[in-house]
Amino acid sequence: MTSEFGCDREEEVVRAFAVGELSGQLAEHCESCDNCREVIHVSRVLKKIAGETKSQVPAAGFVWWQSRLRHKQSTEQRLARVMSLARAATVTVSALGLVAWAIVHRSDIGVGLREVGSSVAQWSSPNTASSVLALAYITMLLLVINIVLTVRAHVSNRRG
Amino acid sequence: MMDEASFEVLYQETARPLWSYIYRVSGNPSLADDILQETYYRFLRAPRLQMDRAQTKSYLYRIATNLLHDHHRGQQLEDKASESLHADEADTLRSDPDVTRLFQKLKPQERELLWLAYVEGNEHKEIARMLGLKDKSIRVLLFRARRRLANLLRVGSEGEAK
Repeated sequence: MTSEFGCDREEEVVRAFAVGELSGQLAEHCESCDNCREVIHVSRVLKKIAGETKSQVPAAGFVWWQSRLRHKQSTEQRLARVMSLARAATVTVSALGLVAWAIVHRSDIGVGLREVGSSVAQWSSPNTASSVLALAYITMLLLVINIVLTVRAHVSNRRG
Repeated sequence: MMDEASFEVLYQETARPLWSYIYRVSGNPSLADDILQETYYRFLRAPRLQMDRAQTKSYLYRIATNLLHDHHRGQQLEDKASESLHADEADTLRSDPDVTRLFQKLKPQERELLWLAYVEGNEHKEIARMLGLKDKSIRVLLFRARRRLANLLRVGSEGEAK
């Protein structure tokens, strides 16, 4: 029954020893089996230090409450992260669109803007045309500010 | 999601032995507190599967063991000064410092195996589930761990006799 790596009755011995029922045939076996004698010796030593361990676990209610709180916090953080990513994606797509448009029309961007201005001027006053141009510049400026703020928020989120 | 009353029953049944296991494997009481709470937090967050008592217990020990492994990996990067600090802290809860010191000389996996087998009285199949190892390897690993502790105890008692 004893092989290179222990005895086949080892688990039986451990179970019996744990409940204090190591008697009869099994006790006789342990006397003649070096492996099982060692199992009992090690079990006895470990049970002794286990009995001397004073565990001070927190109350179940505290662990429950803390888990709920942490779960709530992580859900909120996840939601904030998703919203931030969605915002960043929107800004990035808009910025890329703007850059692509600017690259395609870089040679005649000024002419194009003037044409837009004059076509607007055909159905309204010249003041309206210049207002449209101003509005386009303001929109571009706001977009750039938004990009800068989003990048800053991302950087501070990662550091935090 | 488990309700608070069911959790309390499970906690009363498992928290103390689980804390002892974590503490004896890590040798650090405050780390045992942290890992215990993290274990229950992860357990409560995990998707609810149909598990009986034994499976639930194995699952809790598996989470705790994984957290202990993460800690051991992190600890390997720490310097010696920090390790000796943990050892000093562990002394505060020891009643039998010699045996505990010898037990701490074993590798973490050896401590896990010995504790789960000889203190908790788990079967090899359960231990395999708890530690994420193959059923068949438990017998060999446990044999080696036990042999190592027995040798340490023998050398320790011979040293005392001299």
